[in-house]
Amino acid sequence: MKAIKSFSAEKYSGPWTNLEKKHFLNRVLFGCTQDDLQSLENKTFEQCIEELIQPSPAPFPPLNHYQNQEPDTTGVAYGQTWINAPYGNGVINARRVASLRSWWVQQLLFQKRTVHEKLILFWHNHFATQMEIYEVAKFAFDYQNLLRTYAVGNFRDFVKAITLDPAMLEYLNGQRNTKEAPDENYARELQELFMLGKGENSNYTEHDVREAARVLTGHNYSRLDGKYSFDASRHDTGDKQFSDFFHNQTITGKAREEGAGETDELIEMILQQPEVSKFIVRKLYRFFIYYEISDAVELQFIEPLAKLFREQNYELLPLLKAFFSSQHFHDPAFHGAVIASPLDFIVKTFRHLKPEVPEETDVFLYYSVCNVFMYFAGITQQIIGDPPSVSGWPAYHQAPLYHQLWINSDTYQKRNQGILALLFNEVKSEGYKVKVDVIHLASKTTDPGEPNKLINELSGILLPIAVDEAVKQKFKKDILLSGQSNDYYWTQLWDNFQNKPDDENLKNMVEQRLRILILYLTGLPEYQLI
Amino acid sequence: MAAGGIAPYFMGGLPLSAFGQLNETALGDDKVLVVIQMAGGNDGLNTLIPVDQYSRYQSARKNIAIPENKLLSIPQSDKIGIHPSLEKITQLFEEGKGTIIQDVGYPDPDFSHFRSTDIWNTASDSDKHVLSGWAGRYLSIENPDYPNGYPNTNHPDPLSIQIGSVLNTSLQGPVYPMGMAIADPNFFYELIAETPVATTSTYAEKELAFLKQVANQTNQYSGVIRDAGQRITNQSGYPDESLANQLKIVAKLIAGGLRTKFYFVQIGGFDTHDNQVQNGDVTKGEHAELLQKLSEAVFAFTRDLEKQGISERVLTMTYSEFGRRIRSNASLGTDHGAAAPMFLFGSHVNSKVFGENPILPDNPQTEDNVPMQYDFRSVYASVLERWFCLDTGSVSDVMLKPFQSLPLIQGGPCGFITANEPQPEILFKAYPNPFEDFLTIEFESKGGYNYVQVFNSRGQQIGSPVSADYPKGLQNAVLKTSRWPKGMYFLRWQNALEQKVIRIIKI
Repeated sequence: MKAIKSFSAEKYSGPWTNLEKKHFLNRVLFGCTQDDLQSLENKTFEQCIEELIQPSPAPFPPLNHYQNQEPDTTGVAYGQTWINAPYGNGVINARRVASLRSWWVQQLLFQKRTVHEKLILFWHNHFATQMEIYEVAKFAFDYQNLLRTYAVGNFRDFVKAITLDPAMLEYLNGQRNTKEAPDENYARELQELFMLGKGENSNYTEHDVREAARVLTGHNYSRLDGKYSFDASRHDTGDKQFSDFFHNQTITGKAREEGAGETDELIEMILQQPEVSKFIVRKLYRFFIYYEISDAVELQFIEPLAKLFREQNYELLPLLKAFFSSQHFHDPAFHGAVIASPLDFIVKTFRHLKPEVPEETDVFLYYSVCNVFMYFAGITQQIIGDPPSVSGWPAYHQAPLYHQLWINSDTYQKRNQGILALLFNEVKSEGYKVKVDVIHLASKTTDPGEPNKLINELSGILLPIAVDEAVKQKFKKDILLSGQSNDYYWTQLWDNFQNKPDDENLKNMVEQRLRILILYLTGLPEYQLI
Repeated sequence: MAAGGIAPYFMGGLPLSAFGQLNETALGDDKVLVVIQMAGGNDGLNTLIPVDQYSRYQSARKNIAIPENKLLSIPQSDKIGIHPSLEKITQLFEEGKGTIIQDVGYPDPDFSHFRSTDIWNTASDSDKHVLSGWAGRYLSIENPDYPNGYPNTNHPDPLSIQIGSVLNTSLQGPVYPMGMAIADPNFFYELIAETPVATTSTYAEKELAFLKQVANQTNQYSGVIRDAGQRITNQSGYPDESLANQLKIVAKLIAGGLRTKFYFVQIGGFDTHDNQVQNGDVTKGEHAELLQKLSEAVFAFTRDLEKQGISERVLTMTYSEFGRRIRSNASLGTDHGAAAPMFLFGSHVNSKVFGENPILPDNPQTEDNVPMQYDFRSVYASVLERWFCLDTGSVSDVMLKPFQSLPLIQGGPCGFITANEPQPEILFKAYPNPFEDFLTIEFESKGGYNYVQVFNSRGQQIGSPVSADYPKGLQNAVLKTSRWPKGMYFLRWQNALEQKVIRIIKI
C-alpha cells in the first residue's frame, strides 16, 4: 500500500496546485468542478482553508409548491413558506415533506462553496433521525436548521439543543420517557452513538443507561407547534448514581422546573470523558479522510486534535480548521481513496454536468424537478432526511467494508443508469425534460477540437485520479474518431460545427459523441471515487 | 403433506437438460435457504402468547396483552396462543410445514440494534467483534477461491442473493462479500470494467479493484439471473406488499433454475417502542400489521413453491436481532429485550415446537427479560448440518465453535430421520428452591457433553458450573451460592439434543 507520508496534525506545507486543491474540494464539497477550481485560482493555502470552512448564509426556507395539487388550507399561499404555519392535516403535511426533501437536495445541488452543506450531512448522519418515523414536516425543517446552526458551532451546545429537539424527542421517545415508565432509547443513543461510541475506552454500563434515562425524564413538546416544554410532574426527582466509569458521580434529583437542568449536568458529566472528543474526531476522520484508523492515526492525528477540541471548549470551528489544514488530511495517499456516497455521486454529477432546470420562480416545476435528484439518491440508498436507522448510514461506520457498502451489483448499475438518463435527456418531471448541454461543457475546455486535450481535460476534472493513457486513447478512437485512427476526424467535425452551428446534422454528430464520451468517462470506476 | 409435484419438463421453452448439472447435484447441493430478517426486534411474547401463564402475561402487559379469546392455536402445542394476525401461518402449521424454536438468543444480550444485529449476522459471542457473516463463512469454505474464477461451470450462478439494494452482513465472507444484491431481475445495465487492475499499491487502486470486481460479476451474472427470471411466468398470487414482492422474486429465481443457496429478504419496523398496538383495539396496530404481512407473504410463497414444484428444495427461516422486554411500557409498546422465537417453514421441517414457553415472573420488573433456551448459533449450525449436509467439523469452523445440534429437519437431503416419539420428561432439577447458600442441581446425562449455564433475570450469563463430559445416568453438582445477590435466576442445561431452562430464586 502506498505509504502515508505524514500522520501529522500540524499544518500542511507542501505544494498547492490544482491537484491538491481538487482533492481538498472533492472532500469538503460535493465534487470539484472546473468553476470550483477557478474560484480558488491564485489563492494561498491559508486563504482557501479559511474560505471553505466558513458557514454559508442561511438559505431561503422551503416553499408551498403544492398549492395547485393539494391546497394548503392553513393560510400559506403558493410560493410562500410553510415553516411557521399550523400543522393542517396529514395530506398537507405529506406535501410539505415532499417540499422539504426537494428543498434539502436543492441546498446540495446549488451548494455554496463551503464545507457547511457537507458538514450538515455529517451531523445528520451523526445525530440521525428519520423523517418517515417522526413525520412532521415542520419538525424536520427545524431539525435540519438546528444541524445548520450548530454544524460549525459549539459541540456542547449542539448536544444540549439536539436533546430537546422535537424531531429527536419524537424519534427516540424522549417525550415518552417518564418517571413511571422510563424509556431508555435516547439515554442509550446519547452515549452509544452521539457522545462516547462503543470503542474500547467507552465503558459506560447498562446501569448508566438506566440512570441517564431517569435524568432525561420530563422533556416534552407540543405536537401542534413543535415547541419544547418541560413537564416537571413526569420528571424523576430521585438521585441518579452513575458507575465508576463516570467516577461514581451522583446527579442530585431536582423537583419542579429545575429538573430540566439535570440534563445539562448529564451532558457535562459525559463531556468530562476525553473519549467524547476522540470519538468525534474519529467520526470526522472516517467521513472526510478515510475509514481505516491505524494506531499511528490514533496517536499522531486523532489524539492531538481531540486535545485541541477539548482545549477549545468543544468549539468546532478551530477543530475543523486544524483538521482541514493538517498535513495528514492533504497526504496524496488519500487522493481518490474514498467511494462517493450516493449523495456525493448524484450531486457531483449534477454540478459537473449542470443540467438545465426550471426557473426558481416556477416553484411547482422547480421543486418537482429537483425532487427527481432526491429520488435518484434514494434508489441508490441515501435519502436525505431518512438514514436507515439511528446509527446513520452503515457505509460511514460498518466494518469491514465501510464505503464499499455503497456499491453492489444493484446500486452500481443504478448509478450508471442515472447518468445515462441525464446525458440522454431522459430525466423528466411534470412534463419538463432536464437537458444537459454537453457542447457547452466541451466548449469550456481549452481546445475542444483537439481530441487528446479534450479527453485529458474532461477526465482531469471528472475523475479524482489520473486514468490510464490506454483507456483515454481507446475512448478517443472508439468514440470521438468512430474507430478511425486520425485525430483529424474529430477536429474537422468540431470545426465544421463551429462554422455552421445551426446545422442540425453536425450538431447531432458532435453531441452524440460527446454524450457517449462523458457516459464512458463517468462509467469508469474512477468516477465512483472522491 | 401436499405433493411437491413434478418439476415441469420444460421451463419457458428450454429443455430441463439445459441445466446440465442437475443430475450430478451432490447431496444438499440443490437446497436453498431463504432467510427473512425481521428488523427492529420482534416482540416474541406478543407473537406467541404463553397461554399456560396467561394471567401473568396479562398482568405484565396490561395495555398491550392480546385477549385470550382472540388467540389462534396450532396442533403442535396447546400451551401457545398465536397472534390473530398470523392466521395464514397457523394454516402452514396445520399442514406440518412450520416449526417454532422458543426463546432463541445468546448469553449476555446486547440491547443495541446495531450491535445485536451484528451479533446475529456474524454469529459472534456478544463480547467479540467478528467482521464476517455466518453464511459468508459457510460459502467461503465451499468456495475458497471466490471471486477469482467465478462464475464457472460448477457455479454459474451467484452464491447468494440479497433481494434489495443492501447486502446483509451475514453474507460477508472473510474477505469478500459472497453475495449479490438484486432489486429487479429484469433490468440490468452493462458496467464498464474492461481494464484489469495491474496493481493495488494505493488506496485508490484498492477501491478500483473492488469496483471492477463488482462490475465484472454483475455483468457476468446478470444474464443468468435475467434468464431465470424470464423463464417463470406462472406464479401464483401474492399480496402487493414489500416482503411478499421480495419472496415472489425469490420463488421466480429458484424456479427459474438458479442454483443459488441463500436468499436474504427483509421486513423492517419491528422496533415497536410505541403504538405497538392500537389504542382501543390491541389486536390491531403496528405489530399486528407487520405480523400479517409476514404471515401472508410466507403463505403465498409456500403455495407458489408448491405450484412450481420446488417446495422440497426450499427452507425458510426468520430471525430478528432481539425480542422485547417482558413488561410493556406506557407508550403502548415494548423496549429492547433478549430472547424471542424463530420460525422455520418448509416441507422438510420437523414440524413441532422446540422448547418450553418462556417462564414469566409474577411481578416482572422493567428490566426483566426472556432468558434464552436456545442459542441462535445452534439453529444456524443445525441448518448447515441438516439442510446443507455440512460435516460437524466444518459446522464448528463456520460457527466459530461447536453448538448443540437440533433435529430441525425431517427427512430431507442429509438423511436425518427424526421420528417424533413422545419424549420422556427431561430430568433436570435444582433444590432447594428457593435456595440460600447452596444449590444442588441434578440432571440425567445421556452421555457426552453436559452444559449448565446460570443467567440472571436480565439474561446475562453469570457462570457455567457444569461444562464437561459425563457418563450416562443421573448426575449432580453442588453450587456454592452464598455470594450470589438475592433474586431470580435461570438455569439452563443441555446435553445432546435435550435442553431445559428452570427458574430458581435466591433468598
